[in-house]
Amino acid sequence: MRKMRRRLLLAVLYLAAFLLQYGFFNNLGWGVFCPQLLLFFPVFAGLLRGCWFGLAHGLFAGLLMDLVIGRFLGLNMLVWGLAGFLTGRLTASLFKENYLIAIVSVLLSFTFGSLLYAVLAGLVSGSFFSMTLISRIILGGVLVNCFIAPIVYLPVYRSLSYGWLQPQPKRRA
Amino acid sequence: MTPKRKKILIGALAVVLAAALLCLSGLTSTERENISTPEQFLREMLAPLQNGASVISRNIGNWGAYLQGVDNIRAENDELRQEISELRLQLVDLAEYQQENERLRQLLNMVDDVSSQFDYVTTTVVNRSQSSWYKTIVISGGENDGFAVGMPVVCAQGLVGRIINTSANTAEVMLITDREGAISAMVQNTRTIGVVEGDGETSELSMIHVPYDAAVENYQQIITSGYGGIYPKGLLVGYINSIELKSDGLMLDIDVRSYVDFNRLEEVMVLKPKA
Repeated sequence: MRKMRRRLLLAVLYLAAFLLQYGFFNNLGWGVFCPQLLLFFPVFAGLLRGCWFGLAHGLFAGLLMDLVIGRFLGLNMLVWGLAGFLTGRLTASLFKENYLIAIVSVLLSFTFGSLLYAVLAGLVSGSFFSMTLISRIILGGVLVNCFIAPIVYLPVYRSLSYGWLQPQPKRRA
Repeated sequence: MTPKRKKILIGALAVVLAAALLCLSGLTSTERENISTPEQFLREMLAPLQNGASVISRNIGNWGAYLQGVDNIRAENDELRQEISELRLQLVDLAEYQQENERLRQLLNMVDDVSSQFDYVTTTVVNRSQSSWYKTIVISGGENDGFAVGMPVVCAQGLVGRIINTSANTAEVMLITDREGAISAMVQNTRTIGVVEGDGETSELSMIHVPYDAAVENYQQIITSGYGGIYPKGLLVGYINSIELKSDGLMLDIDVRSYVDFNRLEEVMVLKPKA
């Protein structure tokens, strides 16, 4: 029952983030300052549940992004899967109670993800994005997403600790 | 299985997955005529929501403009009224020229003007770029309305871009400001040919491959040349804002400004070839 409830809530969260990002925020014309809500799934999953969860959420969130953008299918999957995995690996031994860790994780993940996306897209297509565009996207994205990160992190952390997103305890033999 | 073997297996799987995803992204890095079913499904699902969101954002924008000051709007209104009366006078002259032009074309049996080849289908913009990396818009109307990949898209102020993929009820348009949206163009007065391309970052355009001795001046109009087969000849692209000689001394670097405000596009027209 708890497992079912958790999956349902996750599905609703994904749908809400997806529709908000690509149905609403994107249409306001904020350009590089548009929030990337789907990015929070791999980063927070890696941070709070470990590298493998970060990888899984990164692959899924990346797939959604790829299907909407329609260019370089698979590249967002690869980039955000890796970002989620590395977030989990690098923050394994850190305390998660402080919201600053969420801000730093989002900052590093977004910067790493955007840089990797630009490099890989350039390598597979043979046409590289300009450094001005890359730096604008990173700067704008970091500012907006780091501002939103603590607002999203606190309810997610609480829900994972003692709310609906709380994972099922592992059975001992 | 030993932990060491397990690690090797996971590592091998990760490498295979990464290679497969890179191959897939390489294959889909260029324009695709047909988008996959999941992509079509998501696009169709998002379209009504995006339409609603664009109405809300437009209303927010209108309120912002209202709050900026009624005085400014009044002054602008007076200026526009004056401009309209001047343009009305010009319109009379142009109508004369048009009739003369049509008579001469009939004499020469020329049928290559845009309006004789295309129908203008008006449609609305339902969403802007899905990603900051690319300059695209999504318009309402797709395969069900006869829209197809490659069809040029314009608005009252000039050329907007071309359709790069379609679903049943939507179409994605690559703007001319995208770094892959280069077009063959020419200076209207002097017929100097060049390539107009965007930088992918801003809404600015530049005209390249123009020799240093070309007879070009500021504020001359740039139109499509018709070469390349994508855009018909004679669509307004913009005007020359500034001209500089490149460091090699052989070519000109021409800064072109479009009349189109790509951040505020609301209605556009798709040029559908006449049957």
